[in-house]
Amino acid sequence: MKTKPLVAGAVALATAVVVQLGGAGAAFAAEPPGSSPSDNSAHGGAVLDDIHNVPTTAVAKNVTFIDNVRGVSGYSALNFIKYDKYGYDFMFANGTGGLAVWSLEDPQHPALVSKITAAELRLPGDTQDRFWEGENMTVDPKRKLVFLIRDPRGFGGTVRTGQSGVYIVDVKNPWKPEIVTFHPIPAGHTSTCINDCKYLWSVGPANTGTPGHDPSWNGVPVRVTDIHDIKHPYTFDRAVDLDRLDGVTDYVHSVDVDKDGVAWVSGEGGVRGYWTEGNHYDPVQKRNRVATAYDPVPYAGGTVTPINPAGTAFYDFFDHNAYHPTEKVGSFDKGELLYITNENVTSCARAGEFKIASLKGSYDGESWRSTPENPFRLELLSHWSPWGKEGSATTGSCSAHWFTVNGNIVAQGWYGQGTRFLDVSDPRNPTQVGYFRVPSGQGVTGGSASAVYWHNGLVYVADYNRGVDVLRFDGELAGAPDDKICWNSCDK
Amino acid sequence: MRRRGAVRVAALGATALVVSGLLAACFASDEGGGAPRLRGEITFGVLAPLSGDLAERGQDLVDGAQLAAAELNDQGGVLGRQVKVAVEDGGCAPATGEQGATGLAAKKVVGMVGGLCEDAAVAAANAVAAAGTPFLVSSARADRLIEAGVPSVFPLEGTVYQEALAAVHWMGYRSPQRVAVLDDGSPAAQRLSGLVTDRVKADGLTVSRQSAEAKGPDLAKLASTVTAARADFVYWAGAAEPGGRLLSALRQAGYAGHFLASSESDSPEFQQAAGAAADDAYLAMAASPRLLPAAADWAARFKDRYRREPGRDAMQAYDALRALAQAVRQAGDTAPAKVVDNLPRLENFTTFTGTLRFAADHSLTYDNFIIAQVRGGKLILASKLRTD
Repeated sequence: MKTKPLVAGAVALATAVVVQLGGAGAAFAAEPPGSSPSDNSAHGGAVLDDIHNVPTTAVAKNVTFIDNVRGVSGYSALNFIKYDKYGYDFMFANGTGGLAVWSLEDPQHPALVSKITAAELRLPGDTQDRFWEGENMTVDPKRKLVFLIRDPRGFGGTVRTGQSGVYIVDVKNPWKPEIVTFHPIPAGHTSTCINDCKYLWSVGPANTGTPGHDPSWNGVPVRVTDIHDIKHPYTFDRAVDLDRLDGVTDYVHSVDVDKDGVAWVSGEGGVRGYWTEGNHYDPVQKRNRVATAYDPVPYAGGTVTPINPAGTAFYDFFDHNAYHPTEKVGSFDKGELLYITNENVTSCARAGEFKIASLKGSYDGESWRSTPENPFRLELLSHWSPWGKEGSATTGSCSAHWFTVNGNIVAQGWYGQGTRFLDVSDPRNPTQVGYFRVPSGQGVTGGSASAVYWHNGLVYVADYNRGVDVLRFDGELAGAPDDKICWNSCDK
Repeated sequence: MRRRGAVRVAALGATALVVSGLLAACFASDEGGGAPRLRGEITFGVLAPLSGDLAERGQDLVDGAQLAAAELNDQGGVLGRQVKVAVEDGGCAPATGEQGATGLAAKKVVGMVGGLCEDAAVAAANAVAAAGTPFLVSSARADRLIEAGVPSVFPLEGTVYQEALAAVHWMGYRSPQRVAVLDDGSPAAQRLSGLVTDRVKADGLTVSRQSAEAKGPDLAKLASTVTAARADFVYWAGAAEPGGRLLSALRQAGYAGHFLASSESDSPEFQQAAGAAADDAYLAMAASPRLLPAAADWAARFKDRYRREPGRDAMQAYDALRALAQAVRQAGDTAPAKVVDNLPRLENFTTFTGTLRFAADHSLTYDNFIIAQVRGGKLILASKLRTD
């Protein structure tokens, strides 16, 4: 494998300095008088100061570093919205510091245009200016809305005392995002738009003891919120995806919608898919019926046997997030595979891995009937970890985390192990084809990659420490490149 | 969900005021204990029809506001001042509404609550617009008040659209496959049924809609719509009596699915017309104290004071006056603009249905429509439709 220049695009940038990016947004006129933050006629605005941290310490292969932007903090997640009126995309990130918005008029060099700080997100009773956590950030690209999901552990709260829910932010004018409302939801770790963002599925966190939750639950399942009308959101007092771990209701961590519209729900006890629209056969109720966001129809799924013999009861079955490729991959049938992150925050040698499972044998409601006495498990085809692989560290936080897929290349965040590119053309043998890791050094903020996004030919990394790294994958893109990258509710 | 606990606590009489933060107000108290010594007065206006057909409901409204004032004073008043209530007859017509509001303004009220009839409430709202007097409209339907767009006016009732949402959300809990939406042909019912139909369609469910002739609905024809559609959920928008007869006809025809009627059927006429068929039927209706367990202690206190059960106008006015007092407390001032500024961001303020919050257009973010069910000839609470 040929090593490519690491910081080709960054040579013009000073190290860890505050730079006024004058290029993109600064050329636009200021917002016209009288226009509101939701006024679509507004066009352009100022560019804010940002910090760019050049990773001179990075170890990488088949990856070129292009830029780094800091915005308001490090981030758990990103998302993107295309604005036809401007002719380019904007990037949104949420992290402990709040929300940051960048213009991608120059996709290689995001220009910070606005922010909502954590202090501005505080609610009465909060004791800290610390947003948490907003993983798997979701947006409504049509209505130009961003949803910041608030974990009860944010703003100084605890699982038992904190307030969970969602901030609905109007970003019609990305230079002036406006908080429409904070809507309390008895769930709040990640959220995903469902059915063209007319509903929101909010999930997590782990075992809560939160008032109102069924005491038999080990974690928070899916809560469904009607957001047809964002002025009057309504959360159903009935949860979805119960009894997910051999009959026990447990922690749901992520919802990711595939290209066919099936919502894949990941968490403790595996990954299970649901139809949320249309008429489908319900293998649990044994009848055809209409699927809705609040009463979805089970499709397929389950979990696999633990891959770490020295694991823990929790992490053995903690499927953090998943991706269901609807295409044929290798010798496997169309839609047969499931790519899964098993998060396990332990030693690097035993940290959570990337897994590939087959859905065969799970289409008749088997997972919904699974019990401790008669457990149903998917066939595990392969699993992969950076441990012992080229470019890896031996200490630090090393678990698998969020990923996106382009063709047959999985781009995944691995905390301190950085960003890893895996070729899954042979699903039984995932192979590393590139990596980018940033150890700490003088003037260099060490990386902790949370989530990696293919987007319009580039790769953007939401990093808990560094902010956002902009990368280019220089390896060969295996498989057919995707027009639309799907994660959360798909790139639109 | 965690606020549900707060709502339950809010029913515990004086404790409710602690939950709403009222006890935190600065007030002077006698060193020797007993009732706090209050310095000065603060006057809130109450607008209600005190004569005519709705005089009884109007008095209920006034009594609810008076009870809130008394309890506020027991807890130290507002900004250390004694709460007084000034009452004006707002009648039900635009002219009387305007006259009542003008009368209250002349009494230098800090804010107003009340408003039962829509026409009178809208006229009163317009009358106080220039002065920016805070006005929490407690009982009148919200639609026209919101359309009026008076910045200082906050309706405490839901809109027709929100009633439709309540119906659709309740359907969601029952998981229907085929929905029949029927109405009595009146413009109001047609609007409501249209809104419900659109939302049900948007969720991909099969829906058939039928409007009856406004004069003398052909119930047989409506029932045949249900049969032909093989509906498993029927929504009725319209008057109570034909709604009850329709339900009876449906049951006689063998219909075994769910039946949900609009708030117009919150009347004894519905059950009288339906007879035994009324059992298990649902009503989407505005919350009232008789159906809210959280309001039981408050209702008992009301009964102690007035020797009768409270109506929903009393409950609404009670909450309205408390909300107004909370806004004054948060503002630390009685200037209208400051009070109005605080009304959309009341902190930890709950009513008997949940958190009170207003959207940017001043509609209730979380409305007060509930679902009641007929059981053994009585209405019981099926759902508050709230998770806040």
